[in-house]
Amino acid sequence: MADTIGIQGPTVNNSRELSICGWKVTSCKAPILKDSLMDRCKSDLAAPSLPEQLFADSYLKLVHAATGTCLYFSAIDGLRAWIADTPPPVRVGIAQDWLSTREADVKAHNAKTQDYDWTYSTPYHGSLRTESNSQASTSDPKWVPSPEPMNRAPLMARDPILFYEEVPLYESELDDHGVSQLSVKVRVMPTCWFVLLRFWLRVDKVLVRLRETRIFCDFKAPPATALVTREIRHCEGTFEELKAAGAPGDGAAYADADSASLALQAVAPAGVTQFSTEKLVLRKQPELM
Amino acid sequence: MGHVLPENPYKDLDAQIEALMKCQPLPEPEVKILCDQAREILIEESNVQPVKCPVTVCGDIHGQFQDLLELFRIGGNCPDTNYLFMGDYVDRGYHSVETVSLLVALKVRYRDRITILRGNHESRQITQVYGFYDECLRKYGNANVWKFFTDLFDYLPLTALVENQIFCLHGGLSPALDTLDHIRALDRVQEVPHEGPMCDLLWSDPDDRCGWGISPRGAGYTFGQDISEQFNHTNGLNLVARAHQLVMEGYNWCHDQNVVTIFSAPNYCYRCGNMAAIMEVNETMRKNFLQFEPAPRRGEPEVTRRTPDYFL
Repeated sequence: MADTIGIQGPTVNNSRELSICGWKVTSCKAPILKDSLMDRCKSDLAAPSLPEQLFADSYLKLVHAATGTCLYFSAIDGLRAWIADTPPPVRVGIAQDWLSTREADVKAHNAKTQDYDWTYSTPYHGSLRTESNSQASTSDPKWVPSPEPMNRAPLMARDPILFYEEVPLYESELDDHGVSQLSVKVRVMPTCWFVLLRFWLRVDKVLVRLRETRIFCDFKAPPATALVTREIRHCEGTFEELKAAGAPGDGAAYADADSASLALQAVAPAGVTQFSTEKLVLRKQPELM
Repeated sequence: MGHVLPENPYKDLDAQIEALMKCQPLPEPEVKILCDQAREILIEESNVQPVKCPVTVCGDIHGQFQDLLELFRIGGNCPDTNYLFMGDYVDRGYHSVETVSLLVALKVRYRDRITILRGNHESRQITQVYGFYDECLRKYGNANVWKFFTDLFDYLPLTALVENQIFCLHGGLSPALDTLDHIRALDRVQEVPHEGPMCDLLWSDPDDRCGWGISPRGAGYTFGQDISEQFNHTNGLNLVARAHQLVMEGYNWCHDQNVVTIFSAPNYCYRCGNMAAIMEVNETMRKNFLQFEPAPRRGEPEVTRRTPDYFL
């Protein structure tokens, strides 16, 4: 459906691509969705609400030419994962004060509390599909658990960055109660590519949530090892919990995803709610073997 | 209105406006005097400030100063054009100080030509989180200017009424305020409270669900088309004009044309790619929307194209 929305999207899309070592990397950055398409998107997704900055036409795509394996990152897929998930509710810090002085009005006017995850917290880790010219493609690629940690050494090298992009996918100001943001970054070097997908949430005076997916492809990896590895790390904590763990206890230290990531790393494993490493085995299509 | 202004006031003010139009912040002592003068004017204004047509109604600006200048180029200069701004002058953009200083200076200079309402960002609490406070510290080295302005914000009117027909405010309606007289009776001179109906006027949003709703955040009302229709009917209005929400085309009708949202910050946060709009209301109360794009930028960081970094 991302594609159907994209058809009538803005014409000023800023698309870039690079082919290297059997991979084609494409990024597209477009303006936020038009108001009319926003309504359509809302009903198509059966979403109770959508983030006001929805970059539905933006995406990052990495295609492995030999197998057609496609790693894809988009706002719509991120929102699908958000809708499928049912996290415990979050309330803003002032909720108690707010409601306590309005109980009579709420009752008199039969005001109904809407119930959905207004933080747009998504467990999205990226989409995986096969872009195949052949009908006879092999089984779909999938991620399998891997005990080996991601080899970060090639990422430490100061090789030239041949391709770099940061693509915001969606963002909400949460009606001025904080920030919720899904974005993806990529850098391609002569020996590898690296993707960081981040969902980042700060609810002022309440909590910080950071869900990071790192995907790494080492062009020089020996054939026996996985070509693509993935590390998923979810961290979160209320400001009280973070303070108790020794992290900063006020919002200023969590102004953006980068500073939040640093602050949360410093107190890990406190706050870590999920950590896993996986590998993607790329199978060649039979007719290409 | 019948105030005796200090001797030869316009010369200084005109010089200040000229500097501000070049995006030069005023010295701290001048900001203090300006805020004192503005307070004397605003304190006389009603919670439902009457406004005459023709007037051009504008939404959020959010410190996007170059785009405010573009707005004046598109809509006409003040005082040649009468303006009604519906709040959110500060935070998020790079030039909250210059933006709010200019609007307040214009208010002091042309009090009957420009009306400036309060947005939910015109508050001590919100500006400490979303940029204005930090910008004041950066530009003045202390928080005095932030204090002058946030003290002034307490006096800004909450709503305006164009020719008894178009009701203008930042956020939206409140279940505790059925009539304009209820709004006139509020004691507005205070920090925007979480409690009570004054907060609703600055925070609530229209929604496609009928009736009153409470946001799942646990704070904030939404109101449906039935509510807007009833409110307009009860008060003899034909439109609620409000701001507060980003809309891609700069303006967005909803509730069967009972409500319009106006947003006047193009390419919001320097990356959304949205249009901005203002609503002209002419002598016969006809409405015309003018859309505009971001002004060419001088000396502002380009947010959309970051330099590559070795992120991990």
